[in-house]
Amino acid sequence: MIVMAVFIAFVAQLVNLQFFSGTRLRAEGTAQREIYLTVAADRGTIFDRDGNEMAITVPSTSIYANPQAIADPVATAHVLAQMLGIDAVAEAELVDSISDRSKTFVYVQRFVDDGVAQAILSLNLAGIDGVTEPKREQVAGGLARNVVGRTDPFGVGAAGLELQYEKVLRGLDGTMVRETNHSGRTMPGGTKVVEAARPGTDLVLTIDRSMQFQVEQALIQRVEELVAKGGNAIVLDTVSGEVLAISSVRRNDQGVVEVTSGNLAAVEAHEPGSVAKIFSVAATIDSGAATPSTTYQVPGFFVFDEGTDYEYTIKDAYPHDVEPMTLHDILVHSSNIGTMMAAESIGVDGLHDYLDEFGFGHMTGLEYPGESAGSLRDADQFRGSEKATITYGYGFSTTSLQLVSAVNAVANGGVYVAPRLIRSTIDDKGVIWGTPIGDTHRVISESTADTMAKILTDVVCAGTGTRAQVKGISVAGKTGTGYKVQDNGTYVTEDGTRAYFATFVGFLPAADPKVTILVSIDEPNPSSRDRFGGTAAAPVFAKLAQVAIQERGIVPPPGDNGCPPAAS
Amino acid sequence: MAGALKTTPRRTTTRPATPRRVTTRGAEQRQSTRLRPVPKKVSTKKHPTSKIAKAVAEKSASRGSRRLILVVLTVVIGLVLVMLAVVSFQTRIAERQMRIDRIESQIRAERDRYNALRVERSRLREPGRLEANAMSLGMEPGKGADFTSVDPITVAQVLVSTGGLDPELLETSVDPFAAYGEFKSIVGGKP
Repeated sequence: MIVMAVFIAFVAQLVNLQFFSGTRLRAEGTAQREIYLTVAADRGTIFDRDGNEMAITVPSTSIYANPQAIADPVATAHVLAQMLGIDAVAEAELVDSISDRSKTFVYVQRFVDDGVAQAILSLNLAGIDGVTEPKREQVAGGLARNVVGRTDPFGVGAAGLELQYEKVLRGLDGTMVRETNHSGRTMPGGTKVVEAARPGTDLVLTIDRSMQFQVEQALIQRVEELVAKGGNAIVLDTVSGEVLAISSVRRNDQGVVEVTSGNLAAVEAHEPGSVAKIFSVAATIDSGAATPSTTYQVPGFFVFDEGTDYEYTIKDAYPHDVEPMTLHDILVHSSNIGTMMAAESIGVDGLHDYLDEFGFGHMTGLEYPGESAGSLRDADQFRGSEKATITYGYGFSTTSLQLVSAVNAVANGGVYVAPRLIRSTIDDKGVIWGTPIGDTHRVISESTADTMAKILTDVVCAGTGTRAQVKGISVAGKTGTGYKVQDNGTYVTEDGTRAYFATFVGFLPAADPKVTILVSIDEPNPSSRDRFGGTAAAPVFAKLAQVAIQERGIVPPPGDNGCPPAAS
Repeated sequence: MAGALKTTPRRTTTRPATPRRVTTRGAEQRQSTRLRPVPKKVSTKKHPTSKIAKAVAEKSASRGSRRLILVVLTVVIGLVLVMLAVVSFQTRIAERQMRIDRIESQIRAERDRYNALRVERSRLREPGRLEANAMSLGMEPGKGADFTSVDPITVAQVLVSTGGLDPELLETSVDPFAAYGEFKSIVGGKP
């Protein structure tokens, strides 16, 4: 009977353990051996337009500790410090963190080199294990990093498109439970995904990686040659407004010219200088106030508010007496006074309206982090000589991206098309979604645009932009050499020198434009002859035009043989 | 057992001591309260039949305990079988879970490998690397493009002589995102 009783008691306990207390005991046991981990969603990839990865998330091993399973934190930390090559201070911090037995998960180091991670894990240190986590990498040597931006150490967008599209790219994290043994190491088959992570959406940029590389290289080379401070270059698809390449370079503190981490072409605004004459002349022609053959008697200089404290003298780039100039010649030879006289016929209000339509004073629609809208005051806020200087590019400011977009409106038959950087997206199910073309609106008539294209072709063939010529294909464009405002609020430094912002903006083929290109050189050597738009920036334009021809397969339309031989 | 009692002469002598045993079961139940002390008296008198009764009682007890053992055994065996079934079932679940874990692990590993290959491919196609390699082979960037106009008659003659080209052969553009989209649709949401 005793045996029976014992047996019954045994069975009763068994039943109790299995059926009545089982759930609770299992839960307690599970809690002792399970660790819940967040499964980071794969961040969306950023591609160029041809499917080349620009930024991608790759698996990387992070080493973590389970302090509850570490018997000797000091010794463990010392071994880890040796393996990871961390200093004494960091080792002391590590001792503190892995001694905190209230926690079951503490990072030792994230994104450890694969070889080092394997070496650490092979030691089978109690309470030390590894977890695979997604790590963001900019492949292709960091091309277009000014646009792509970067993420912080936790994979969160911190700049550029990574920041702008953070919500889209990051996806949705999941949860994973991992069973560990008494020494804190993962038990075989003990990893279970509770909730799968949803990968982020991929971005397909409008950028052409190959073109971007060549643009960056050409710009760096030119900035080095001119001992300049920096430069910007942008290549747009004329019809769609897609940004094919956008680069900003800057000389760093060590004097090395490098691609900037910020997209200065969309962030920094400058007075455009003579490039703005395109808009003044286009506005004059489009409003019917003048034709390309309208002739003006243009003096070599003009004095504003003569005899007052606000007296200001405007001069042309080259000295000349009063001479008759057609509107065509005024633009071809970039006459400040001629442009002022021509635009006078439409008034500041009229010109302001056109500048507004060309996109000045407004964001481009990219909504790029830190993007500047430049500045364009209301027409009634222009005073004295400002009413004149605005006609040739002083008195308002623009980013390089705004400027190239405005010139692109002329190239695109008079229709402004907002630039865009995202061509399509690929969602977590692999479905490709095209992005719509940006905002478009007509600024000038098609005939005015055609007229402007012809005049701008002459600027390249016979005017200030001859160094932008490309053999066998017509190029239309305009030079601009702006003085940069100094810290003292004037255009001249205390020691009497000036800082230049040399620009060339153009498009090709002039008769049927496919690409619009801007090149700006920031502060070229002021004592060099190559400090002007036509000498500093135009040669880079010609080089980039060749790149565009090869990369985009551009051929001249029938009858287009480029500038006449005599003009070359 | 009943037959054996009948053949025993002493059985008849004992009958008067317990005359009411022949009464109907219903009557016995009705008078059960009153009759309860009687068996005690019989047993204290050390009646000659007590040994038999004891034997019978022992046999009855033995029979009862055997029955109890049987019941207990049956219950225990049943329980053991149930538990075995439960353990077996849980083992199967664990086996399958481990198999799922292995497959998921393989998927993860393959996906990681796919991503690693993408990175490697991207690095191999990096323009800077290609340029450096090309220059080390003695190549240099093109200086420009020459646009040559081709006589339309010559184009026509070539088309006639070659019979034109199959349009499918002319289609060289491949959507670089098609294969990627397919891959993502399959394993994109997987662990």
